[in-house]
Amino acid sequence: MWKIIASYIDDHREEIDLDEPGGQVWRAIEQKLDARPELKKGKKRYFAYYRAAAAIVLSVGLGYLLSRAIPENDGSKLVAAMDQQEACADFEKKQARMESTFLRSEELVKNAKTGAQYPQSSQFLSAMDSLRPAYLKLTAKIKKDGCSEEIVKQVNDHQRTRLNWMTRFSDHIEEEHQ
Amino acid sequence: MFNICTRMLGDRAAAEDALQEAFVSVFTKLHTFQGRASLGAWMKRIVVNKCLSLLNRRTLFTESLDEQLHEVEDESSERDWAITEADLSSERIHQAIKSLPEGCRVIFTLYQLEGYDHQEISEILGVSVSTSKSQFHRAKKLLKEKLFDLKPN
Repeated sequence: MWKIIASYIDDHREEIDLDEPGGQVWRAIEQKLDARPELKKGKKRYFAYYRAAAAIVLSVGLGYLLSRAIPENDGSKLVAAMDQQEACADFEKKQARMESTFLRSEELVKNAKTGAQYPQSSQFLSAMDSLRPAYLKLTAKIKKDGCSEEIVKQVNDHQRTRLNWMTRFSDHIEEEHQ
Repeated sequence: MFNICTRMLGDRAAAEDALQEAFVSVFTKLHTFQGRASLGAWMKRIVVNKCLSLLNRRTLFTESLDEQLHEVEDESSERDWAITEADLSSERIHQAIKSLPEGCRVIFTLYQLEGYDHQEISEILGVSVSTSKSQFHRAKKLLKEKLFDLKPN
């Protein structure tokens, strides 16, 4: 019997990871890290274009989506339901576009700035890739359960984390490229 | 990473604390990363160490030898626990793992889910290889029982 269970666990390894941390964890990490002294100024900003693009896309895009997905006033139930439906339809479309921008930016960075001569950069970018399954899991959840305030919040937190990781990693990658 | 924490610590709030501390360590120690292992493995080790520092290692494996010996897998009872893949689900396995006693849950998590071998686990936890193996054996037996109990009628 154990073989059946072990085989099931191996085949469904990622699906077994069902727990997700609350958004406050990432915010607390960001706060702790932000409280640390900044890296030396004056270094060449290899990843500046990526960071700027991603930051704008994420902050504007997610801010917009979040505000759309959470109606500010209660209104009638019918209107709220329609708003939610509309916001969620919009959400999926915008979110997909944002993800595509994210991936294109990562691809550009990979092609231009990583390779055998930059082992640490390659490692960091592969770590970034490892965050993608969590995003895919969230999008699968949207398809399965539909869009909700909670899922919008989770996607928002996830993408913010991804951006934060890339930002932090890029500081170290830049050192390698000096 | 968060799931390693919840499985090792068995408590969501403690897992969030461990994850938070571990990630801050990851970022602050990035300059010490040598690239000998993959970055993911290096990060995972920091997370595991952070969880262990929150667990009281000395009380993880305090059960008597008799108790452990009684729980050595009895192959003869396999017939009674017949279960098929159709009876399993990710949710049931997730719940069953989380309900394991702390000591064997930690070893099961490290061995079966995170890919450490018994030698590595013995070094990480400061226990003998045989303790690691017997606790893993115990975890398998308890999991089978729990999954059988959770089996849909």
